[in-house]
Amino acid sequence: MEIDFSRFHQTFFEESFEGLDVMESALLKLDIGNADSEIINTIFRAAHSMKGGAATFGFLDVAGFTHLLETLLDQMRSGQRAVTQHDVDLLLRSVDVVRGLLTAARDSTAADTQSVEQLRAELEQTLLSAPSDKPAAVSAAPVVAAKASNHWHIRFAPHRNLFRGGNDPLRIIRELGTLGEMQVTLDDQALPSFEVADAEDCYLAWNIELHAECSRASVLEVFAWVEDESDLTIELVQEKAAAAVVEAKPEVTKPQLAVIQGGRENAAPADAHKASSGESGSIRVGTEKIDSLINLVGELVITQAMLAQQAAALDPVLHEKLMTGLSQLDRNTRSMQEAVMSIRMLPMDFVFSRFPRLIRDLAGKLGKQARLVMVGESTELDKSVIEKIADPLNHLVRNSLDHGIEMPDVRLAAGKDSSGTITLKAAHRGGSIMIEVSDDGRGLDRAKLIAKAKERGITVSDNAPDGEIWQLIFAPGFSTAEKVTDISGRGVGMDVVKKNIQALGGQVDITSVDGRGMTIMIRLPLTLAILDGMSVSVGEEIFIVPLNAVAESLQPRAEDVKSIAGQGRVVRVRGEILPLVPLREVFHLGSGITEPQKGILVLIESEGRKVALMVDELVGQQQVVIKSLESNYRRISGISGATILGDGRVALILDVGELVRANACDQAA
Amino acid sequence: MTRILAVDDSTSMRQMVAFTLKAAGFDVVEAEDGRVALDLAAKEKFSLVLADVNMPNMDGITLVRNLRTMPDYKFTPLLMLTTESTPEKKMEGKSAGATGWLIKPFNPDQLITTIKRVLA
Amino acid sequence: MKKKSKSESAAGISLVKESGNSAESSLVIKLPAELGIEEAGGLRQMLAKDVADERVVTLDASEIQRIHAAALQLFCMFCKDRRKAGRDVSWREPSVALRGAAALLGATTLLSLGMEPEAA
Repeated sequence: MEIDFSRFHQTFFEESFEGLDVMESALLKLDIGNADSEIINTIFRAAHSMKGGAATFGFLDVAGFTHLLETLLDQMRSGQRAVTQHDVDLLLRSVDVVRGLLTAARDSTAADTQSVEQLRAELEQTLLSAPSDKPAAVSAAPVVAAKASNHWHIRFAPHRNLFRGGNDPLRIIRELGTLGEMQVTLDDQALPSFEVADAEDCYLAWNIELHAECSRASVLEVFAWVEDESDLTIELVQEKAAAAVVEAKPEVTKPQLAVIQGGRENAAPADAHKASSGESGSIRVGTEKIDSLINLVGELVITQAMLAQQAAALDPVLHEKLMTGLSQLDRNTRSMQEAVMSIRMLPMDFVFSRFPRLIRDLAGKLGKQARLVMVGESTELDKSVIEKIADPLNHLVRNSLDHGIEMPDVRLAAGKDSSGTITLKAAHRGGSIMIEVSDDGRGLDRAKLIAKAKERGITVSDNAPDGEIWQLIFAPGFSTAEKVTDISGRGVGMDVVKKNIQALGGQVDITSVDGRGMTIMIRLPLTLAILDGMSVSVGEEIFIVPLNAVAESLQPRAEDVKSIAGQGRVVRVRGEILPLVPLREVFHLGSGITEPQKGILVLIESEGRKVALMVDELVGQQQVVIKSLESNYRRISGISGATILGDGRVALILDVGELVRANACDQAA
Repeated sequence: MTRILAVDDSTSMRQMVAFTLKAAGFDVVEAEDGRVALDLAAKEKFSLVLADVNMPNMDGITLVRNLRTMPDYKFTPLLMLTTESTPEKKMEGKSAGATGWLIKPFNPDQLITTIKRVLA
Repeated sequence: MKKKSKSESAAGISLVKESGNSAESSLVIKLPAELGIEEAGGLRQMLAKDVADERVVTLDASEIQRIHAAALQLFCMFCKDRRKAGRDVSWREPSVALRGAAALLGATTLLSLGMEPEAA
């Protein structure tokens, strides 16, 4: 199976750097001469798990070096070696070296091999001088692959308890059969009468004649798991063409024989080289290289759009070949864009995986019981988005546990399971990703939220729709918790959460049922680099409205538009009264339609509120490559970015969240 | 669906194991130490448990020992993830009731072959 | 693969027994599809009652899909004990899984599985 391990590299680096910090501070705490075994154990564990990860993910220099550390620490741990100041110093310097190796591996730069080698030599020297009473080294048996067909006699007599360790002789003998040809003779001497037998004890034994082209090690490996739970003898009865094994030099043709008899590779003892060569299917590339690739593809998409636009004016019959070429270019550009984007995609797991521990720790602190259900962890999202969504999600999960989930006795009294459930869900919806954080706690209290808002001087209508009331929890400094806790504080963070999500071009919606829990839904663009947009015109200008924010567009009738003194105009759309916002006025444009019934209204929605944007015309729908306005010009209120159109003109992308907020709030005030 | 409990305090190892097993069509639940794993195992019966040896809070050997005392896990395959440098851990794990072990580093194929063989 | 209803796993094993045409002369024991180690205890209990049954016992093994050495060992004891007492055991449509397991464990002769299956 081809699995790209590079997706785990970042996590590996993070946890390894953390591990080094742990080692460092623990080493500094070590009391020479009276070392605390728990502290040594902590240091050992960190080195050990770093080694395992490094070997698995193919950072063999890190694995090799940490192996030395581990060996030294193991001697200390088992009491074979006293903890001396020299050793502690050596270990501290080693921590620095490993940090250097990891940094080099992470950034694809060269490591300082000189200091690595020097310290490696010192470590080896120290290990050699170990005053160990028993040899700690585990000499791996030299594996001499016997290629000739041998006749093995095997006696396998499991102990009574074998089944209880989860092993099945049937599986073991079946595996043995894959090595070669065998004859199995059952030994039922020890089989008791049915009456006195224990169904879960093993009484049977086997004598097996195996004709196989394999070494003793391969045979032993089959029995490795049950070696200590059985009486096992493996005898070489007859060694066919044994000389061939020793005189390996002229036997160039021998391997062909092995291939013909097939199915044998699995049985060969696994070695570390094989494990690492299996990962050669991936390379690590710096993100800046990918970013520049994405940028270039973006430019290509623009050029392609430009060509398409120019070609539209040509006669398709006269320019048939050109047209075919252009449509091919269109398809290829699109696939290329998708392919490049997918390089940066990572599974949501990267964020979700931190929550089981968080929930457990927090629940313990709060005296609550909670379990975490995760759905759609494998949903992929752009790396840059995933990194930025981690903190907001963290806040939301903490908030659910702190304010949503009730104490066990309260839950039981309400007829619920004493343990609450927090669900994290991720799924793709068109060009966006939906992330949900829900709990089955007490839900939001409408009356309390309204009262609190009034107390804080926030204007809110008593009969505002629920969606609007729930959004109050995102207001700065807003909190309804009766007590301030150190978990999610006084609502500090919730306003930041929303700001962060909006900065990503995302939206937050809340649903809540009293006593049954609440759900926070976050909708995010899959990537920050492209956007599905609706292009609209106002006078000479083209604006892009993010498609996921567009509810509908319509041409209003004159009688549906009303002016309200001092509050501008509103429009009635199927019984709903919405603020009417002429884009022309928002951006102070000199041209464009002024009468609503002559233009088009685009209803945009954000955070459960809608406004009707008035534009001249709908131009079309297209995918646009987002260019930052801030880095190329400066930030403009109501605009989230810019893009280059097919004809070379710059179009501004509307910041829907900001437009709705500015205009819907005016309305409520 | 066959559900496997993967226990490792190293997030990257755990993710690799979970990812590989999921790709092979297994359902995987992750736990970051023995204690969390034990809690999960008490709530549902997994078809197989794959546990690292060295973990904070509760190590893999203690986890196996505890699991074996639970009626639901009397015969369940319990595999330890060990390294070649700690052979004594294999035996310690075995006497605690482990079915077998997998030696780190392993590649996805080795992992899947072993798991499938045990679950066959 | 692992189809097991809740009631079945809770109550151990359920073996369907049916009497042959003449209740006097034959007893047919229908064996379930799953004969894993977890089912061994239940299987033993069930077979124990019929070890000494005077009638000819026929084991209907047509459904067996998965079998553990522990279950096969029980069949060995069952057959051996009955044979010692001069009583016969016959098989009805032994499944591929059963035949394969018996062959691997060298139990084909002991279980009299080498013969042609009895016509149902």
